[in-house]
Amino acid sequence: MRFLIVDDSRAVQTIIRRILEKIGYRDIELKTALNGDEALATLETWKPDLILTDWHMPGMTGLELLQTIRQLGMHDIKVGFVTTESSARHIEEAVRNGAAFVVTKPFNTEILTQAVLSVLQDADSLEGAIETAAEPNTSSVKTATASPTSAAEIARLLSLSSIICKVESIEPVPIDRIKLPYVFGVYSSAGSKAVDAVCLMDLNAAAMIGGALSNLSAAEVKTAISSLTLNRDIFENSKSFLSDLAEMISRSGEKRLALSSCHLVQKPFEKLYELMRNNYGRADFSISFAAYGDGFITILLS
Amino acid sequence: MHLYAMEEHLTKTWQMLVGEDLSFSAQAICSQALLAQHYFVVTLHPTPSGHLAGVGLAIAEQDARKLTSQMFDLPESELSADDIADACGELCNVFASGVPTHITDQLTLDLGLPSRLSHAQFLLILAASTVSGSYIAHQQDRHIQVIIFETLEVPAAAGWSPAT
Repeated sequence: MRFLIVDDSRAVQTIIRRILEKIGYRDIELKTALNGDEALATLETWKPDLILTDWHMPGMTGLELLQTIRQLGMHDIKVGFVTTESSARHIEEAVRNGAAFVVTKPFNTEILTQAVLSVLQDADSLEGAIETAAEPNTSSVKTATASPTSAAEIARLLSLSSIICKVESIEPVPIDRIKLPYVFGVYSSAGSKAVDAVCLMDLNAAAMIGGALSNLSAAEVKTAISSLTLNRDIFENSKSFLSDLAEMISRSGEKRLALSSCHLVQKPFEKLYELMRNNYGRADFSISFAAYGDGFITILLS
Repeated sequence: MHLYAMEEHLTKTWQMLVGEDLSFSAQAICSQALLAQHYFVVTLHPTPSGHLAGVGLAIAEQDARKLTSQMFDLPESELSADDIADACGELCNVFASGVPTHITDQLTLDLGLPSRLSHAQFLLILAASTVSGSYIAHQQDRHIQVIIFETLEVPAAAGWSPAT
């Protein structure tokens, strides 16, 4: 993952760098620029996934930098603001020009981490990740009566991590019960780009399972649920759970599947709804923790 | 200039940048707090009356070093004068962002860039400007003072032009 930090304060650059390095990306490349001109010079030879820029800087403003980047045709680079700018008019202007987020100073680690994760794991990238999912697939995994896994297997998987909870098969969760954000895992077989299965965990399930795997207290898990956010540890552990689930999903077909990507979905995602209506196998499970409440998991074979 | 929860904003900013609970409260300008080592001003413009407004910061060396050390994640012994100026300028900038900048639908105050001043320049500007608020954080012998200039006047003798 490549980040370009643009801020005329080296102190702020250092703070942002520190936060980005702690998010947990395996491969991270970071460059910094003190102003818009330096940033544009960097972009001539190096393309980041995300630019985090200040608004008020000597020379061009962050907004002018964003506009210039778009004029230069670099539409695939996401740009977020980390700024003292808080007027609604300016923030609207930034969003109208394509800003991915505006984080106002002072900010804490959690706020910036969530902003970055929401951009780099959002539904846009997900569209590409399951591009082939809506297409009919003749792979052996897909049979009309395939059952992805069972409640007992999920409960057993969780118990291996000393997580005791109640897992039950339930009727298919209706589309209107799916609230944002949720965690979404995509499964493929080795060497294939085709999507063979997906798994959706609602926020409650992700926070409870991810929180339990992170050894968080009930209060911390409840905070995550009520704030509609998942911190890095919860998200990474939710992802780890979905990865472990791959083996069980694989048993419903002949292919050995692996989790190919995992996303925190923050925007409505049309392809998921298509897949819920038209799939080759589905299983829904409720997950209940005595101290927290209920959540659900939906597994779909595509 | 109307202030909204400025005390809370200053306290929260210090907590987030330094990780220390230090309460700022509205108080009259304290001459002792003005005997600091670092002075900064961030401008706000244009006000409804067309004047320049601003936010001033006077911070002692001890606090400036503590702030800079936290922001750069470096031991105080390794900090340069540029590091300290950078961190204090950013602190003043974030402090200034707590002043409501959205006055009406038609007018939004723009924050300028932080400028470093000398003690003499700061006192000249303070004497010439109209102050609408002053906030101080006291802790034993430490003082950090934040001054809101409803109109910021820069006498020629100050030899300084605001960065915008």
